[in-house]
Amino acid sequence: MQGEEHTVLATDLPQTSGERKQPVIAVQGVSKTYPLGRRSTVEAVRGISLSVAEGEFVMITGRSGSGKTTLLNLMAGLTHPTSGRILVDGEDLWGLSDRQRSAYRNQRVGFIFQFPSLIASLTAIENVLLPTMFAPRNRRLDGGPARQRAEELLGVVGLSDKLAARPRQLSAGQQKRAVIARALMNEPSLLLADEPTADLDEQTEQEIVAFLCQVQQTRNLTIVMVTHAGELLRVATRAMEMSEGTLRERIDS
Amino acid sequence: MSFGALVLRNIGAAGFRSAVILACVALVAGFALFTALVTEGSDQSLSKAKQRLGADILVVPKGSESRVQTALLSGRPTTAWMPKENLGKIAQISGVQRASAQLFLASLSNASCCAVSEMFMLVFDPATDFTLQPWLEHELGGPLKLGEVVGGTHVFVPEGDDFIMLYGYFLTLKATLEATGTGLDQTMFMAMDTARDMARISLSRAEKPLEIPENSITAVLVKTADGERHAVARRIQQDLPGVSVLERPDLFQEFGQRINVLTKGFFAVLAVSWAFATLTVGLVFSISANERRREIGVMRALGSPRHFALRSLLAEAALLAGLGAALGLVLTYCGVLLFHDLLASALDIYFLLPSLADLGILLGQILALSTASVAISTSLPAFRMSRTESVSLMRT
Amino acid sequence: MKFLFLPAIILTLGLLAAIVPQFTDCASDGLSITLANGKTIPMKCHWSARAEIAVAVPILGIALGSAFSRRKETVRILSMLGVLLGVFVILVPTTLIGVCGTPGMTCNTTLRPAMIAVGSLIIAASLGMLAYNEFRGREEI
Repeated sequence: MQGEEHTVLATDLPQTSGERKQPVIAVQGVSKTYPLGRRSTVEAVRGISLSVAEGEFVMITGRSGSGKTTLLNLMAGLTHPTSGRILVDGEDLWGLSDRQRSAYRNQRVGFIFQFPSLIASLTAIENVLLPTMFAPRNRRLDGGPARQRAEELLGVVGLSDKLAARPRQLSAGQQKRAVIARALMNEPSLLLADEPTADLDEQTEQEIVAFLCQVQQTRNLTIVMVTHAGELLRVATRAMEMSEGTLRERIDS
Repeated sequence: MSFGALVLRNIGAAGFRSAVILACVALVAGFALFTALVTEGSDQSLSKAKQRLGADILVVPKGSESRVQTALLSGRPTTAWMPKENLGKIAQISGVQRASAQLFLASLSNASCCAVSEMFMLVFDPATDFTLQPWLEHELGGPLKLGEVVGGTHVFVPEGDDFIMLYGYFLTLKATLEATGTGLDQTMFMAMDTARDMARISLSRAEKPLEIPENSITAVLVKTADGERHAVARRIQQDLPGVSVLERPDLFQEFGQRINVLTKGFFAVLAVSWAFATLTVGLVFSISANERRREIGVMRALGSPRHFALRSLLAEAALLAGLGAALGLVLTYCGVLLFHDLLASALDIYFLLPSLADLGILLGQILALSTASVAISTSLPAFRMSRTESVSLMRT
Repeated sequence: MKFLFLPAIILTLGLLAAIVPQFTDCASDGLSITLANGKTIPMKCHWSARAEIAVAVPILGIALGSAFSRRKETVRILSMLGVLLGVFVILVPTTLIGVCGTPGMTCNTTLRPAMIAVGSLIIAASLGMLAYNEFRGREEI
């Protein structure tokens, strides 16, 4: 029936071998536990398994405190899982050295944070150029070509007249656009977006999401986006729900 | 953008804090240089003064030892007299290689506009002198003629004149001695015959005649055989009870002790201020690093390696320390150079400024020490930051 | 308000250039030249001190002018004049008029080095003002 939702566990989905693509990232039985004071702990993520194929737009909804941000942080290699594995191109992310993980984050992942994450002392274009500073030497885009690319990206997100602006001179929406441009600077294959439209007005929210869809289609970018706004699910190729540390697929029947 | 540009931008973004660190380091580095210049300079000064006298033993009238040493160090003239026959008696003592008499005289105070005023005149006997004569032979090719004098660095011929006039007598300044930083720099050295000729002329030409008591001398300089200095000093004291015997190491002891006290005081203040400045800078950087936790976490997410935070904070600390120290060192040296005479007079000590090579080494040492101190005090918060997990950094 | 910082420094330095020499020349120590006819005249450090007033007054004018002028061109010219006058503050007691020769005299231990220091700082502050004006200065009317 239309309008009813059925909850299916992500691991229950049948694998269609003819349509199987190499997963961009595979989370296998991952849990993450944080200490809470001296004697107790909290399990933010419980035994989650998730495969994200190339070109997918996965949207994860859930209430505040359900573990969505922790899952994204795990996928980005920003925090060590308490158990389980995170495979990138078949390799265990936490089997790599810190340098290799940093290179993974720099070259393969673009991250859009929920909080304002532009560096306050840098201009918009300098913020967008920041990922190039950390790129491995043989992959680094320097000087003129880097600046040109940064200007293009800022133009694409509608900030071509704000190159020299400091974050405090930009609105919340403009800052979010600059962060998106920064996330795309090193042409990542995976974009992780943590509530990219939080604290934005409805119009700006629509514009940001539309832009993400455009980028996903034109660049065949894989996006995993976390949001509390259920109404955005319509643009996703796959919708999932997180609750108390567990992840389930949402299927509208 | 480059790493260097990012470091500079971070420094500029925390303008007030950066200025505080810069000022802290500048003050301490400047004080360290001041302390080093004064302590090493005064050591060198005293050493050169002893060298200028050139004697192993200085024999002066009993009770005048303090005045005589003050006169030699400060350049403020004094007179003291003992029988000339003491010279002969001293020369006979076993272990004495050479003995030479000197007279201490003074010019009239405020003799003329902008010329040397109240100058100390040290009169030597060219026949027996063993301190100045060798230098005169080397520099001038022979002894001083009648009417010729040599002076310390502060003795000069008044502008527009060809001679120095003292007691109505015209003196020719033949040469200038190397600086000692003491009153010997404003001392005039002349031979006995010139002094006596001046005394004779002054009777008719000077406002007040120069009086040189007959058969009197002020001091006897003694050169001893190697290793016999102390024994000779005892023998002289035994044979001539009316004199005071000053051995070379004990010369200017009072001033040496005063400098020691001053030095200890300076070093104590320096140690305390250095420790305080290091702690302050460490604290300021700790606060700064804490405030930038989220920023550092974001950079980790963008792909910066773990050690980037450490490198970045240490680079900022080193740059601020280096600039601060350089500023403090330059300003302090310029100040000491400009106000050297005023400082010497205010502190009542004598100090020479070091040669360029020695100064360069000193500046390098203080600069390195300042930068290292600040880097060490910053390393703990920086290291802690680099070991913290990215998500913890971003969580505020 | 930031721009008032440098003019304020130049104003202070100008006041120092005018005032300090009046209390550090030999006349303030009670010293003077007695001529053969018994008359007393001041030593040359006294004239240096007077000359410093003549140099300091336009420096004060430059400081005030820079503080209140809204024209970039005006501040540029005033800054350059400040540099020139700073040079004169140094030259007066060293070369142009000079001070007494005796090392221990106040004019030598204090007046001369103080004016060298003040003059150098006036030059530095004026150059700073020039640079600030060029790169971040005010809009022209």
